[in-house]
Amino acid sequence: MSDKPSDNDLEKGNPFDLLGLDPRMSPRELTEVLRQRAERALPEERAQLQGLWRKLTLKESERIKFALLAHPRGSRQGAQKLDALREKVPPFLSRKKLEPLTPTALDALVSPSDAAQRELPIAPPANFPTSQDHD
Amino acid sequence: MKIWTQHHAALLDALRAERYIPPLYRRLSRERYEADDEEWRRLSDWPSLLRKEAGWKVIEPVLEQPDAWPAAWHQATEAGWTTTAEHHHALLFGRLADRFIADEEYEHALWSWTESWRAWKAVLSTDYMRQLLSDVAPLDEDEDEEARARISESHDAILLELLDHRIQARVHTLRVCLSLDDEARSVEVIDRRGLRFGWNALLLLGEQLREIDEARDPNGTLRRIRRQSNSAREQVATEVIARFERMIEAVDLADAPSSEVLLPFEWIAEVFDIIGYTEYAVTTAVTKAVEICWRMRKMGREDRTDDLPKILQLITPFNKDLFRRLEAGTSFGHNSKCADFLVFQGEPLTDHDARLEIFERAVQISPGHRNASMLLSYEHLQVTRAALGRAKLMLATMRHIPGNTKHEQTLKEAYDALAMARHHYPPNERIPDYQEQLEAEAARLGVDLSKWEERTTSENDEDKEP
Repeated sequence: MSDKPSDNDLEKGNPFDLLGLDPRMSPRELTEVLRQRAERALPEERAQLQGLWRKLTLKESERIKFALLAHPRGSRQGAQKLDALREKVPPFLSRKKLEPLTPTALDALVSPSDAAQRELPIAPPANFPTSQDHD
Repeated sequence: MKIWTQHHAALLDALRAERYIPPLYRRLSRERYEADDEEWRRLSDWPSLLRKEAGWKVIEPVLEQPDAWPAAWHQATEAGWTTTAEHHHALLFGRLADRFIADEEYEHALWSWTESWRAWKAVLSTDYMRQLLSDVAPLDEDEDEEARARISESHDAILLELLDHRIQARVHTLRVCLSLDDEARSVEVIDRRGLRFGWNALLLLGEQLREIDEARDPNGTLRRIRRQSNSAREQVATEVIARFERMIEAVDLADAPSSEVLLPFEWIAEVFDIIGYTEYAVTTAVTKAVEICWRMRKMGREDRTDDLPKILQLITPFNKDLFRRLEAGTSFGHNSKCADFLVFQGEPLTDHDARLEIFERAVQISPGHRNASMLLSYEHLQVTRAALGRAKLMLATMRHIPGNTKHEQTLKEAYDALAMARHHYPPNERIPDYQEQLEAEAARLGVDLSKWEERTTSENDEDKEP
């Protein structure tokens, strides 16, 4: 059985959904985002991006239709693949403080090969230098 | 250094999407479909949003339990979704409905269709939608009030047009199921399942949007959608009736085989049995049936074929519905056609009680209907004749038996039936004969008929009291 295609097409080929973009973006914002993507895209992808950009920006009524039939977005970043997102995440840095190192006699049993290391005291000096000594 | 960046949030959303979209999509598609890449892209923000909703506590524990669905979903819906979530649902269920329709899984299609409109109902005419429209197409602050109102109206019109597409898609489906899209195509093959789905989809939409007042729907969007769904059904029903009329006009009663004569009636009977009777349908079907019955009688086709009783049988549900409408006062102006139909139905009956009942109904719905009144008058004369026949077997001496009133009761029965025969059709030429027989029996059995006449007269007078 055939069905009337119009709204189906609007939903299926919805540029907002295809690009994972926030439907609330203005034409200017859309142009900027798509321009940035196009710069990084392969030639064939660039042509596709241009086509979608045209769909979104040529006619305001069309953009409104696409926006109303697009899934709401939590952020303006757009949906991206997991791997791409993982790469963007900076390495994890823990703020947890490490236990202070306190050398003991046991440490002396493992003799460091480095001569400089060997000169290190095996226990803290009895009298730490005061701040005045540094000055 | 900033520890939690927007990339972290996006990654978390994506991980949640990976975890929750497959089971959610599978459950909501009634275990029929898996989410493909496109669906993943569309729904990527949805799970993170759902996790913050009241309904999540209901569905999350049963995500991997197909048997708990769709009950769990309905329960979660009762707990309430935010409008943003409902916007996701309106779109998702709309796509699922389209997919089910394409696969002819109409039961699931109807569920998805209903869920989609339930969600749209929760979204439309809300601050969320107004805000979305205002974000998507901000009104120019420099424009005057009138221009801003005009632009706002045009935005509403765009929204309405989008939703109307879904209604028109159902109309299109219905037209295909009924072969209305192609005049040259025979109507013999009806896609019954598709027809039932398409019709019920529009019917349920109308029901869902019933009793919405202005406060709930200040822009009137929901009420306009309801009107569109109702008029879409009317449009299809009207097209069916128009096609039915054209089919009848094309039939040549002189030569056409029975199959050709009966086809329009078989078709309309089947269609409206599925979609339910409308006033226009019942009045047209009954009128056309009566017209064609008269023509068949005049042309002698009634004697050559058994088309007439078959047409009556096919259209009986329509006439029953018309009778109910006329009786309830929800329809008027077709009383005589309804009575005509009952007369055609009653004529071939041989059982007196059945004939009496059907002609009484005809006269009840169309008082003074000539044929129905005449036939009813004759049925009452049958009662008179039977009573007189019993009276004639009684001995004249019975009247002297103390306490015996049987002869009087029998004559009263004959008297009343004769009065009814006269009441319904005074020109009935058999009445004087039965009147004569009644008087003769009354004289023989010593019963004074005048006492009943007085009573009847006084009863009639009482009836006339305001």
